[in-house]
Amino acid sequence: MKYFNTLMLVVLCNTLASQNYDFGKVSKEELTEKSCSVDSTANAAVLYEYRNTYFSMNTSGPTLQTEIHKRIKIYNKEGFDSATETIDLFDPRGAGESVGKIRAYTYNLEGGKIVKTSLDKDQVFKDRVSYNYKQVKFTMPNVKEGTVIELKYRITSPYIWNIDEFVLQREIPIKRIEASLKTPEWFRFKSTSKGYLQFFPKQHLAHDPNFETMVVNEYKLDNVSALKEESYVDNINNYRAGAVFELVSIEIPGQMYRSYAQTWGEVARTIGSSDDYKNQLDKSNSFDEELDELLVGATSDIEKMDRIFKYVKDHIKWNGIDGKSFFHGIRKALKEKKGNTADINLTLVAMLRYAGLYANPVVISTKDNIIPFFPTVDRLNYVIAYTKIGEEKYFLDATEEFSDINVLPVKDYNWRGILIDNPNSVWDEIYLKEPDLALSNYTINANLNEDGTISGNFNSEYSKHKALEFRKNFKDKDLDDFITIREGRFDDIEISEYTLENTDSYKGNVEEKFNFYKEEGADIINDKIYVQPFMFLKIKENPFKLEKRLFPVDFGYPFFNRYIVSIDIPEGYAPETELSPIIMKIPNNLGEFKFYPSFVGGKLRLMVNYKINKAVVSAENYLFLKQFFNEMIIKENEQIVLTKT
Amino acid sequence: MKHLCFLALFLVSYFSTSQDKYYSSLTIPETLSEHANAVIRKNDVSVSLNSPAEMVVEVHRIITVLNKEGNTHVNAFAHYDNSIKIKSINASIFDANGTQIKKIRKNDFTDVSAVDGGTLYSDSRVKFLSYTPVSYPYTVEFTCETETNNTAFIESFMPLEGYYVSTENSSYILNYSDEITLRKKEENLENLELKTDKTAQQIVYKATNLKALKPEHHSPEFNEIIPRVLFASDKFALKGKQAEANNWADFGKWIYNDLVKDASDLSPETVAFVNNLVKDKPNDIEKAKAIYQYVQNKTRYISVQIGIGGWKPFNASEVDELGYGDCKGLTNYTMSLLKAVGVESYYTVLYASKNQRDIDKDFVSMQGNHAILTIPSNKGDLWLECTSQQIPFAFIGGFIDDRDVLVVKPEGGEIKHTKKYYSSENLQTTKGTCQLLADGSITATTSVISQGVQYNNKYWLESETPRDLDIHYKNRWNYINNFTIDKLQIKNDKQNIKFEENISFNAANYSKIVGNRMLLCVNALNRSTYIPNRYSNRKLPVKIYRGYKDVDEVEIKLPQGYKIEALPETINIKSQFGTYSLIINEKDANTLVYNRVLETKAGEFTKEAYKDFRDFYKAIAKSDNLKIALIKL
Repeated sequence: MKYFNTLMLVVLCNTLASQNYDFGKVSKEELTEKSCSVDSTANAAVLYEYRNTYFSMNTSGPTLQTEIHKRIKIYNKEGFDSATETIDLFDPRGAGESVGKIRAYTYNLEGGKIVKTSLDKDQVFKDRVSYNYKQVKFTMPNVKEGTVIELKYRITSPYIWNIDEFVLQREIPIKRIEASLKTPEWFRFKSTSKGYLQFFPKQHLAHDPNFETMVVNEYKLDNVSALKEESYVDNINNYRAGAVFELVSIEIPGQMYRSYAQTWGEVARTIGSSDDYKNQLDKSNSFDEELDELLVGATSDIEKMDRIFKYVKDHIKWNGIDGKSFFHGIRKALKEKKGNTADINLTLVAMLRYAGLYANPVVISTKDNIIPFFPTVDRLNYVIAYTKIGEEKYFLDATEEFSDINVLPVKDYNWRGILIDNPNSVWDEIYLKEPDLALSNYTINANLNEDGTISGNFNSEYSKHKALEFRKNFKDKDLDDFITIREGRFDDIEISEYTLENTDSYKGNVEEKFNFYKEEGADIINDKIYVQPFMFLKIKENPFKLEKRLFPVDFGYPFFNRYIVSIDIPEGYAPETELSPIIMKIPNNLGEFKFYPSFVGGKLRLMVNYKINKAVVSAENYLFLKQFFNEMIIKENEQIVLTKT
Repeated sequence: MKHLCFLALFLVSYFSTSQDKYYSSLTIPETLSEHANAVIRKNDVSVSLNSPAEMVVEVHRIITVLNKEGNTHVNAFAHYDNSIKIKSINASIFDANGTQIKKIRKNDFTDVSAVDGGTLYSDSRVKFLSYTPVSYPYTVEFTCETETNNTAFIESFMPLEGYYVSTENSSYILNYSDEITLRKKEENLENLELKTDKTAQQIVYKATNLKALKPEHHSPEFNEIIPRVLFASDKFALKGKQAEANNWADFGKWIYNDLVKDASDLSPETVAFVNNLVKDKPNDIEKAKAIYQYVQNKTRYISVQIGIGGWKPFNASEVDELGYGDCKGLTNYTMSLLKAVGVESYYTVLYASKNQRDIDKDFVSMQGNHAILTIPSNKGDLWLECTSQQIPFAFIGGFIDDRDVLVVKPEGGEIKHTKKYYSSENLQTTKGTCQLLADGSITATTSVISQGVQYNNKYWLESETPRDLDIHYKNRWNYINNFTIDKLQIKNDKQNIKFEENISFNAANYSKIVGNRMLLCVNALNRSTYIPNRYSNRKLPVKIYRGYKDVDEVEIKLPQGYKIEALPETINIKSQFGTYSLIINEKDANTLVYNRVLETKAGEFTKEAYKDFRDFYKAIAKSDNLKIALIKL
């Protein structure tokens, strides 16, 4: 009761101080408001949002109730999308989540009076979008510029152990958002705050006749700016303000105590003790004969690893489904020749173990699944294989056609992994081996003619992730179409004699060769030739356009591009001025750019190194990066004047 | 019944003799795998129009998928709703050798709502095969039988299904009862290995060995180049509504009477309100403008499609209450309001698309994917797009212009052509001053006025946020590194349909300083950098759907301490695709003026003309990249 009183007081103060957030109490001020105080350019804003999630007892047992209350302001026509509400419900076989008590109103100011229109029940649409999900959708009637809409509904869920993320930041600004989670003390959840905004929940205890002591977590944020997409972001949801919850223990005094993983070690142990990892992983009878045959003549562990990796790639295709637990199991996956991530990579572990190698699963969360912010079993979505030969560490993922050992799909490099080493009883966090520098080597020999046309040959070689990317892009493309794309990519040169090497394999480097011709290879002005020696290889546009950045820049992997260009210039011509080299580094050894032009024996020569050393560059270094690109573009676009001597 | 028996016999004998060879990918003729990601081994469609209100469609297809990109051509799916029932649906998967590896029964098909992104709700659903291939090539056999009481849409014979897919065999049999009068229209059947047969109540088409087509830029739309045969019945039904028509007058009358007429109800309050709204307006056009503005402010586009609602507009009273509707609903609502104030207007059916697509006037049938409103006036018809809250009254450039449409009048339908926007109307006028500084930087002030289709390409900028505008202009002037906007002002003149942008910007290192010279690219404000793709062997004809005109007049103020070395000569480029000219004059010792005019033409051209087309754009890009040298005094 004491708590209640304080709470009342707080609410009262609030009301007196500013807004009335009670349902239906939309004010004239809100309706006449012309722009949002958080961001004057917003098309719509959440004036108030309240989410209350709590345990409730009904006839079939405890359920999770979530009450939603939103008040949204539409400033202009571009904001009309905010008048549509979509509620996604997990509902396999019609026994899962449901929504009820939908009430929603549109408020407009007409002739100085507040006019209220209610949402008609006929205009609420329920749709089964897939086997597991249904969707309830509605859009508000009578929405105009300046409208305020208010809606309320309640979601009932039988999944009491699974509390969805509290989303506290949206694509439109929020003036105030409050959220509350009330769970029994004996059903303990750990909460973790995420995103780039700082906020802290308030915790207190309450009482409920059905559940005894309850723990209440309360969140209150004011003036939350909108979350906006940017380029080179791993997953925008990593930076969205929110609270995530994980069940850590269940305790019914005198009856039961069950604790769930609270450290990464415990997470690893929990996963390690599941049937898939504990028992199924060492059953080799579905492949032992084939493997014995495969390994005949393999002399080293490395050779065994290589053969097994290829074998799994060839024999089980990925069905597009993530997972750390079997979808089919080893036997069925091998028989059907397809499976989810766990089917593939756990089979890989099983086979490596059978071959006598140290091999274990490493469970991870991929980039599309956001970073796991705290020890969690449920939020890990993927498993890869890990082996050690001597002191060398090898990470393997056989789901992607062109991935190689220690060249994992880029989505795998997200934070770290959880090692499940049951044989040696090691359950702990593990750092994935960072991707190596992906090399691209270019050698170009060209001939510049007096009429400004340029022709030559282009040789290049790509390694590691650059090779992976190239192969993925080339896969299944019509060769002529691909050449057309390359011509466009390289400043509309004309390509002939195009050849590619090693694009079907996942091992080694890709080589690309062609001859080129460009009509406008150089500018000819008043008997002088102005040529850009970096030709069609130059970067034309700075990818970083915005003046500031809130999130890290994710390049996916570090890379190093090396160019050697040699241009024969028309006889009797020479550069008019001294050629100036440049060396530029991004602080903290994040990257470098070297540009060395020279003129030797009638040839213009150019050596360029462009290197980004880190896959991820933090937001603090963003302006360095932007400036780096800017200077690089200036240098690459520089022209050399050739005059007749 | 006699016909059906005959058909069954025909099909059975046909299948048992020849289909096994299609299961194996080894039997694909070489000419068919060229440029193909998938091969339609056979596609047998059998349509039985048993009565004007009962149609059964049987599909039996075998597709060999050659690679991952080919998966999209399997097309093993069937739509259903209250009026279409799936009677049977099955599929089998075969490996490269033709050995069956999987069978998929009705309940194993994935069943989802057929809602597209832009629709809030639709009652249409789809069952489709979701299969993860384990290796390529593989083959899918799909059989499906559906029954419907909608006969307004009869499946076409379309042996070529898309780009990058070839067809070995495609057959089509249409059986129809004697109460039905059938019409058909053949398109692009020349140069086809084709067999046809027509008896009293049956039409048969069979095409073989169609090579895969590759898409090429600036070619006609796919549906304009592919062979196909369209069918329609004079008597038909749509979601329980019966109709009969073999000319547009009757067809339009049916749409009016059965779908439109009774949807124009409005409350007396609304009628009184809008009459009050227009009471001071001097004529019908001014009244219509007021109503159009009222609708734009009151409504928004939301698509909900239920039952006949997919074809029939929501009632006007409902849109009035909800404040939203789809194209049909909003068009009908606007029409009803206009009627309430005594202004005549007509519900109009058409294809909305960026590239113009006509209602096929030679083939009376259910067509179109959009609805607009036609207002007759003594200055010609006015066309109103009712789903946009932003576009000016009677402006239609970009999505519904220049095409044949079906105007639905109470007395009957009529084919009309919407306004065409000629090159000279799609005008962008750029005026500006560029000041160059001795350090190579540039500051520029420019005013850009866009009209016609060029207005349509830009008016939406009016409602963008400053952040998005910054990105937009940096992209538009992406050839200027370090582009920074100093001042930006946008004016959308809806009255005169002109979009005006006033921009000041600066960029460091714009001109390259080389020794005692400065290299200046004259055209900073409106550079065409586009060069069409090169095709070593162009296959498709060229079609340019719209022309436009750019007129630029810019003053260039030279940096202090520099003078021009030599004035470049005037450039004139002429081609069947358009004209271009660039003239640079010296206004005074420190000022140059350049005048640039680019006008492109719409039209249809042969595939041989593509080289000319590319050369035209190459020449423009070269000219727009023209540099002059300034020398230190």
